[in-house]
Amino acid sequence: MNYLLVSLMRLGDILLLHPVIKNLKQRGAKVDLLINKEFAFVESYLTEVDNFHYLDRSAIQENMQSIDTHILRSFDMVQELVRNIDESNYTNICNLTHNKLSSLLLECFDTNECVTVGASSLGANNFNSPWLTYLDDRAEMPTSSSFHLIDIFAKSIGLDDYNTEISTVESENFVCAQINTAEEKKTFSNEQWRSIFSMYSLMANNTEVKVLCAPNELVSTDLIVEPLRKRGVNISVVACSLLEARDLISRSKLFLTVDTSIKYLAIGTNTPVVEVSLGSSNFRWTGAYGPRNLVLQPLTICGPCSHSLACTQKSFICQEEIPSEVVAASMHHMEIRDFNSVLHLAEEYESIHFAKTEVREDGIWTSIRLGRNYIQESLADLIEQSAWNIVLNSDLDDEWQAFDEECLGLRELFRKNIDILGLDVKACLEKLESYLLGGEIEAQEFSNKISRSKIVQQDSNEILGSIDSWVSGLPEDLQVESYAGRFQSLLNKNKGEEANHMAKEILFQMNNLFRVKRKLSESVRVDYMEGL
Amino acid sequence: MNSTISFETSEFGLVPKKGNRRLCSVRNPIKEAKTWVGRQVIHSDTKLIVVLGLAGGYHIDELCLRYPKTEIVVIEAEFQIASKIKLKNKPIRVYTSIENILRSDLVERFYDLNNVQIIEHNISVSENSKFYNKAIASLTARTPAAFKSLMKNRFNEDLSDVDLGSALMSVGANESYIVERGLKNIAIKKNEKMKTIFHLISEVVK
Repeated sequence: MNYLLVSLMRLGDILLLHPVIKNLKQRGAKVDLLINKEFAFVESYLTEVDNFHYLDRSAIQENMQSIDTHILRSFDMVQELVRNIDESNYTNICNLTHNKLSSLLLECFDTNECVTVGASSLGANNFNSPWLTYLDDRAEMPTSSSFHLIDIFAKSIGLDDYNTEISTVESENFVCAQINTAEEKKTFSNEQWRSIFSMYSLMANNTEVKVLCAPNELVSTDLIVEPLRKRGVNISVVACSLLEARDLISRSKLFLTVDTSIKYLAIGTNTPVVEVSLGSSNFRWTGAYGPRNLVLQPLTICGPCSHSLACTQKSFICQEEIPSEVVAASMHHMEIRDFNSVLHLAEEYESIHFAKTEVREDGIWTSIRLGRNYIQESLADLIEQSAWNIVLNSDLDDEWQAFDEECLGLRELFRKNIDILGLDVKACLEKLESYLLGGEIEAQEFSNKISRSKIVQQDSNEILGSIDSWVSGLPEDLQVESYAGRFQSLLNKNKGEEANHMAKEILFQMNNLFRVKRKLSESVRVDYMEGL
Repeated sequence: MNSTISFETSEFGLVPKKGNRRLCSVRNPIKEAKTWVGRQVIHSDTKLIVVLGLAGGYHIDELCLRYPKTEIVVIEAEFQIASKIKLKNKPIRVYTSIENILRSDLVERFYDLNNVQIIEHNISVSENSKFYNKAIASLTARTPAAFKSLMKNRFNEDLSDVDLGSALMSVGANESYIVERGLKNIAIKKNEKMKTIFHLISEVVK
């Protein structure tokens, strides 16, 4: 197999492909990568990649804007890139970028002889992968995603069971911290960082903190830590390359990070990660990947906000919502992954979402919200993820086997986390099932309403047929209701075609998901809980 | 060109003037030409040098001596200068109008040859900057006429003036030049891949 992975976003989007690339290589595939030229420096880090192709956006822009340069020079550059890719005879081209640029580029490739996944502008809604359709559905509401981007990408290119090798490097007596981000709203103020490190220093007997940064960030980062050094805190700034950063992280006893590309360097290390998820950071998509890490996300009315928009509040309330002592104490507890102590913190600070990360037996990343009040919420999330895993694996030959595997996976997750989930799992599952049954009935009633409609009846065969297949849908069960309202409104306005389209959408989302979730919950509760 | 061109005679040869301004040194135009050539950064792999401005031609003669294997062409805004000044070292093609440039194969060759350089004789260019800007835009196919000609001759694409005009207007360009974002609006008919790449480039520069 000869793969081309296309990732035309930022550094973090490239680095998060590392586990996917490693797994493809383990299967004997040749893996090439097409990225933006400005990130060519990742070549020395992603050593598993066979060949790199680059889209030189800066040169395209400069050529186009310089009147002395031929107007077709940029065209020639892109054409040469396309020619090189066409000549590489890829068996699989996977567009793992969710933007118009990548879809236009994909459209240029000669893909007659290869399998492609991901959007091309010719078929914007045809991703050739239910996983990427799922991703597209959630582009507008990423917090509702049940899956990490890494898992969506891995699944979309056909990796089923996969693993992330964990290194066995012995940890040394220092911690690493990554405090710089491209967005001001995704990190704390300098003063708050000083406060965090100061408190941590007291709690951890002055364990050394190495603050990582890129060489061009050295001066600004040093300004943050200099006052701490003067006060005797054991802290230093280390300007380093990606490889050096990874080496330090793997040898450290803890890695504290905000939402930035560097956090992906911790994947595959045995180092516990504490991630502070602020601003536009959406940890469900991009959180600290790996088992038994901790993500702290403040629960604010505006978060996670949009990447592209400035903060709408008078001050960064998400940053203020997480007191320094919570970060410092979390760091201290997580050095030995003491989740029981973190659980106490979670119960004390209810305005913060404390997420314990886990990796399921089949490699899928997941998270569990810590706190006795959130067991129901966590179980619902886990069941939802399992249900989608069944539904999105549309080529399953044996759905019952998939059910069995999901149930076993859930049981294992419950077993590993029984301390934090508590002993009420069965009761919580029962409550969840009754809620899901309500959703099913609601969906059924609505389905009946559509069937009785004259307009929809014309295409009823097609619509009813679509119920049998899995489809993308809205994740929130209750949104069926809002769809129903919009559908009725269109009918009232005699907008038959639009109503018909809406009906299809509704029927699409009233797929088996309710039922799959309820059955999963029931099966786990009745048949798989013995001994827990 | 609308100008008052006259010539003085120096001990080295003719020195053209535009109005009262001499376009090259009257005392030692050869020394001046050597200095000018010395200042130019000509890459070793350059195959074609386009010089904007003929003036007295001394700098062209010097350029020919310094780069004997490189093809050199000259664009001169003033027909009177081009017809009067005789170059010494080798026959050099001199273009005196945008129409002549478009009628020749220069636009195509400028595209086909990767290693092409444009260099300016500063006094000449400053006296006729509008003409020379248009000449550069023609060579780089940034005027509708040059673009249309290149697309026809090189890619067999027949573009109508309406297509090009609307592409320019729709992005708010002035009527003289194609702007980068206008590419995606140009109605390429035969070459689908080219059309998509144009769209992609517009997306990059947006």
